[in-house]
Amino acid sequence: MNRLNILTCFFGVFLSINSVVAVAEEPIKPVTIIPYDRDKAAIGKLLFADVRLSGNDSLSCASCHILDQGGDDNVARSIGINGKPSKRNSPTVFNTGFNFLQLWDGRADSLEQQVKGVITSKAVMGMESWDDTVEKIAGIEQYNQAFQEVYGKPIEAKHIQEVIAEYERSLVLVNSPFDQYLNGDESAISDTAKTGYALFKSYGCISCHQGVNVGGNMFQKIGVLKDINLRDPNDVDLGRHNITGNEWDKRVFKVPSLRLVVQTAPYFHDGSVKTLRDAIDIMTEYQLGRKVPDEHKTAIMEFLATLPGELPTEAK
Amino acid sequence: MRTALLLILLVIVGGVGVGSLIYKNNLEDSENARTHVLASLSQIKHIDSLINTQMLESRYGLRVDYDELAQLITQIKREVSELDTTLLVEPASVDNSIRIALDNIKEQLTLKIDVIENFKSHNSVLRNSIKYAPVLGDSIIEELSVTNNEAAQDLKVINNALYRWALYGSKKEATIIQDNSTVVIDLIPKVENSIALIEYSTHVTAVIEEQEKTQRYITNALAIPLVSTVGQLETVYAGYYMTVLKSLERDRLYVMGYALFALLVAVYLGVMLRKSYQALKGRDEYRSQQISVAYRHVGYADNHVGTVKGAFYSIKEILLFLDGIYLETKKQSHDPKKMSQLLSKAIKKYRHLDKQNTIDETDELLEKSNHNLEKASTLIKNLMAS
Ligand code: HEC
Ligand code: HEC
Repeated sequence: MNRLNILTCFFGVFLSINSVVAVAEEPIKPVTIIPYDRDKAAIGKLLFADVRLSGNDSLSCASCHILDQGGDDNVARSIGINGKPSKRNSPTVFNTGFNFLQLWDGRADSLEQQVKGVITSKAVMGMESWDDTVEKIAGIEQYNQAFQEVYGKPIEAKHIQEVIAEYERSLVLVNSPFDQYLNGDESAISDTAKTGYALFKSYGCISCHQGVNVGGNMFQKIGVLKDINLRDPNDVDLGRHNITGNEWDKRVFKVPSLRLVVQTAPYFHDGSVKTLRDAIDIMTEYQLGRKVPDEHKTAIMEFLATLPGELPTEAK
Repeated sequence: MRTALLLILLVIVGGVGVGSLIYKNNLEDSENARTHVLASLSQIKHIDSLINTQMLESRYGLRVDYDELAQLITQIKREVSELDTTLLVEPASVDNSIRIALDNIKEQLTLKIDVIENFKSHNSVLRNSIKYAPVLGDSIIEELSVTNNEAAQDLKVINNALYRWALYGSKKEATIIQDNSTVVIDLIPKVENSIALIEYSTHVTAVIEEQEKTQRYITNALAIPLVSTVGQLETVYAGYYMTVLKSLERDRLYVMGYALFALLVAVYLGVMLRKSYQALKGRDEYRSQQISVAYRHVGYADNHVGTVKGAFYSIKEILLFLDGIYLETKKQSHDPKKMSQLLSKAIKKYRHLDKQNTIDETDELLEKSNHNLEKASTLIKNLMAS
């Protein structure tokens, strides 16, 4: 253990010196498309919008992930098949292929697993079981034929999950003004947005919202520098703790992607915050332990507005 | 008979062929599986070392985002879960030690990922405070140096330590910061700009706490014996592979034994075939020989019959002649001279005729012919029976 410490120290010094010398690397990277199977995605696209995937033919994925409205549903907490609000706010399905895990508490390892869970969830899409789902979909000639063509065999649960996941992998928004700026086009975004980006980095938003998806690659406690209970004592969602049972995972959530944040109000896991400005307020106070002047927030918002890209034509 | 033999041969040759093919495929399969497993294991170790490097780089601010680290974790998880399919679908499922070793890896990996996720979170918070606190400290010191130089000097100790700590991250600075942190709290009621000091205090505390946690997580993550569990699996798998090889070796011996047996059967069948062919050939020869013998006998009989037939003619002639003499002598009974001439003529003629001994031999000949015919008939009967 001692040797290890010395080693990491030594390595640390070496790296620190390096980091001082190193050319600053941008902590946000432009979006590039994720490889996906077009034939499978084509079936996935149909299923995504098909209400027959729900128990009473009333809900499709697209009911809560409206593609022309930012890929979410614009309500605080999504209304499930039983007409009651679910526990959480619906995140966008755009760029979810970049997220290291799916769902607010990261309980799905992959997009496939998310589909597997949501369709048979009593509170969300309410199918009895996957056997039922397969039987129901197999009863629709159009799908029967499409699956047969792609997989060469009768419909299986894992194939339904796969085609929808493939479709989601195609939902990647490229060529945003900010990505153009990152790629060297100085005129792609306004000066205020550039200032906003600088502030986003210097305030330290970037230490959590970072990478290609400006988030979606780590967990964070909500309220790292100030107890979040001070904000909303009624919020009892313990997040990742529900999955792991670890004490330290209480109120830990996946850091959400901010790529489409300007289109996906209301905010946070419970949709409790209506405006982006308020969300930023909470972030600076509870996550950064800092006071941020209004004009800085405005600049950051202008920067955030440059983040959404567009769907590549071949994925439309 | 012949097609049956060919069929047997086909079964034998086919058996050997299929046997060696199965053996060859099994050998290839287990070699492929082994290559696959060993490649996965070394890949796991490789990714693990990349993960460690990335952690250290993130720890010291060389990595500005976790995308790559997150991808590596996804990759190593996938690699381990694929091992599940390659190792446990195989007959290795019988080998409990492999399952245990694999479970060990999974357990360690889950632990490690857990620790790394904690590291990522705390390291992010730490990096923020460590960047911000010294800058904030400087501005406070600048303000304070006008009104309260002593306090400013106290703060400087902490702040310089923060700077050095940000740069080198050595334990010495951490201790200095920790030891002096109360200075900040004590100062709060004494200064005008207490809001800045409170903020500073928050971040200095964060630096201390997060530094401590981050260091602990990174040390823990590096200490998790993932690589050695992979090594264990390698060892167990090597042992398992030896048993696979041994059983394959046994299979090979079986196939070879079978081939040898098949060869012996084939040789034996060949010999048998040759023998029965020769026996057949011999019998055929014997048969034709017997037939020709029978024919000969028939011929003999025929000859005898011919001779007998000749004798019959002679006898008939003699009888006719005698008949004529009898009529002549009956006519010439009145002339004894003529009668005696006739008689002597008749006797001469008879003698001439009898020179052929026909009458005496006829019986004998008939008997012989009969005998030959009988012989021929039994020969043919025998041949027909055989
Ligand atoms: C009733 C509304 C509703 C329906 C229908 C629905 N979702 Fe969602 N979706 C949500 C909510 C709410 C969450 C967040 C849940 C959580 O994190 O616990 C979510 C999360 C997700 C996520 C994770 C995104 C991320 O960033 O973590 C994906 C992907 C997703 N849904 C895809 C789908 C697909 C595919 C379907 C159809 C099979 C579907 N959803 C159907 C409401 C819905
Ligand atoms: C310590 C990590 C951390 C830092 C630093 C941080 N955030 Fe967040 N951010 C989070 C987490 C975690 C959430 C999700 C919280 C929740 O849902 O309860 C979040 C949510 C958000 C949301 C709402 C997103 C949505 O779709 O609901 C916005 C907007 C946001 N952050 C902006 C910022 C800005 C701007 C900054 C810098 C001023 C910042 N964040 C700094 C961790 C952080």
